[in-house]
Amino acid sequence: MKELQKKLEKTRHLKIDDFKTEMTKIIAKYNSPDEQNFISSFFKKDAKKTIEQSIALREEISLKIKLKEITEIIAISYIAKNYFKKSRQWFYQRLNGNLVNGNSAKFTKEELNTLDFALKDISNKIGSISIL
Amino acid sequence: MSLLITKAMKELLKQVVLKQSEIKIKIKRLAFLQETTQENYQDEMNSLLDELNYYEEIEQKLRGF
Repeated sequence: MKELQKKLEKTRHLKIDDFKTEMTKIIAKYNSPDEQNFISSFFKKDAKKTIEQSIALREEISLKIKLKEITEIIAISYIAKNYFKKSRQWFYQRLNGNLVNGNSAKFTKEELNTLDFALKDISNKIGSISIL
Repeated sequence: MSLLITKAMKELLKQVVLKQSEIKIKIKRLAFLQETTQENYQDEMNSLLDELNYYEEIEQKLRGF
C-alpha cells in the first residue's frame, strides 16, 4: 500500500486532465477490494481535511468582518492602548495576519476574550452616558 | 475606512478566491472518481458544495466593502 499511497500523494498537484489520466491508470492497476478501499479512503480523508480547513477559514473571515465593522465605530488605537497596553500597529498586525518573527500574527484565545470584554465595557460606558 | 483595514479585506478576498478554486478542483476530482469507480462520494461533494456556496456569498460581500 506504500507504493499506492505515494502515487496518490503525487496526484495532489496535478491539473484535472492529468489527474484523470493518472487516476485511470492507478484504478486499473490497483484493483483489489482492499486497494480500491484504500483509494476511496484517501480521497474521502482529503475531502474531510479540505472541509475542516475551510471551516477554520470561515471563522477567521467572520472575526475579521466583525473587526472591520468595529473599526468603523471605535478607534482601534483606544482599544489597543486601554485594554491591551499595546500600539495600534500591534492590533493591525493581528488583524492583517502580518508576519511577526516569521509567523503569521493572530489573536490568541485570551486576546479575543480581552477584545470581547473591551467591546462590552465600551458599550456599557456609552450606554451609561446621557446628555439630556 | 483605514487603509490597513482595506488591506486586511483585500487579503481576505484573495484567500476566499483561492479557497473557492481549491474546493472546485476537489469537487471535480471526486465527481470523476465517482463516475469511474463504484465508490460514492456524494456526501463529500455535497459538503464541499456547501462550503463553495458560502465562499461565493462571502466573496460578493467582501467585494462590496
